[in-house]
Amino acid sequence: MSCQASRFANLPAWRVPSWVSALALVSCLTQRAAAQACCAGTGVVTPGRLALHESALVGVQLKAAAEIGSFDAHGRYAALTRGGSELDLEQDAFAAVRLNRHAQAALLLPVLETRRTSATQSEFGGGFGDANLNLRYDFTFAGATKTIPGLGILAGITFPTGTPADSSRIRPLATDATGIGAFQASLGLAVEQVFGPWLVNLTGVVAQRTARTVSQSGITIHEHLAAQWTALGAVGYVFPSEAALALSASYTAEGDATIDGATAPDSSHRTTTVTLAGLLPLSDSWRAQAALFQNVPISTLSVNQPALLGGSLTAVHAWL
Amino acid sequence: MKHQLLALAAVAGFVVACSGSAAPSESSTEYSKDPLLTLKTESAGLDVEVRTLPSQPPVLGNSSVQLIFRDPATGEAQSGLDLQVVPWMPAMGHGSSVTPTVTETEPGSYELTGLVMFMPGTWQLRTTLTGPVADHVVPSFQVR
Repeated sequence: MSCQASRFANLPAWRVPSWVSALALVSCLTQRAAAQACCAGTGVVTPGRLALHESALVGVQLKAAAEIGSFDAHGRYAALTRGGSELDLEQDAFAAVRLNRHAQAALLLPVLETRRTSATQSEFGGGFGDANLNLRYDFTFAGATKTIPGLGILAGITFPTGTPADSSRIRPLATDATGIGAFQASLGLAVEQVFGPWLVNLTGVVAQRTARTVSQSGITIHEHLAAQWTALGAVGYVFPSEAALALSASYTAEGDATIDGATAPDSSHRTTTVTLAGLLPLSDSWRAQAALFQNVPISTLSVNQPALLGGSLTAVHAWL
Repeated sequence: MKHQLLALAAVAGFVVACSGSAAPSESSTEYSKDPLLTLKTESAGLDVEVRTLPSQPPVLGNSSVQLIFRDPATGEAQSGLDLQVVPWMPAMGHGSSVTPTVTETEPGSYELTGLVMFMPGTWQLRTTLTGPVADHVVPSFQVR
């Protein structure tokens, strides 16, 4: 990969795309922050994206997020009521492998815990979440030329390996709910380009979940959530040391769900999330990443969604 | 190293101000005189009044719900109904692991106890009526 950036002039060419990891981290967090643990669709963007010179990587990510409020069906934001609280914890193990120069695959295995309180109850639980498999194919690479940006296609599938909130095994406050109870398929397009030390990424993703059928008390509910559309914009800056910062904003929209063949009013979603991520290369094979993210707590920016504030720490080991 | 520390410090200093709040609901041991909402059953068109405890509208956690069914023509309470109720979050695509218990406390007045709404958002009570009237009704409300 060649690069026009003077900022990169003193770096070996194969080290230039180290920022890729920071942006990948931002993208992943943004997707996963869209909903709390029990309802989150796993990110379509690979959590540990391989730079061009890397052949494989493994990593661990520790995340924590607190619920600070919620948006109702009309987008009105309200802080949590007295006595209510939620803390979401997550530990992800992930691995990525390069299939060829243009393609890579990644697997994410999450473990989730939730502490939830109401005015009269308190509960802590967790378990294995929904596993996620992603593929990425880069047609072109950012910085290769001035005129043609990097262009990649993303595809992912999430498996219902976690436990949904309405399972009979779940405790009353559903703190051991760890999955959405459905398969999710995702398809995305990413465009990115380098401008000196700056980098810009635009990603669009559409996700569709399979329908769920739940029977309780003699009542059967057949629900199909609408397609979920996500637009992500991120800007990053790479320091001469190869440390990087990235700021991103994402907007996710989802239409009304369908229950038993009829549209369910007030069931649509919108979510606006901002994320700041940093990357610190520790050696040629090790890097540390950190990020803070928040669902912006301003009315109308989100709908039917809890508002989370959280952060993460990630360690990645890569092989050249 | 200076730049590396700057990168991490910037992440650590990332703060976005919060805005908006909601006044907490008052707790009570008696249902409000005024219903939280009124609606009709899907087929028979029975009038349904919905009230909640310990607060109205309900907040996170354990709640009780009173459903009163009346004949729209005569205003008489509809007693003897057998109610099956499933709490459901349509926006999230899931319900609750806890099924509420239904008791007819007065003629035409049914109380749901043990209802746990553990997440903020829109909750539905997907209700099937059998007995003197076979019908469906889906009260829906916001939980904070």
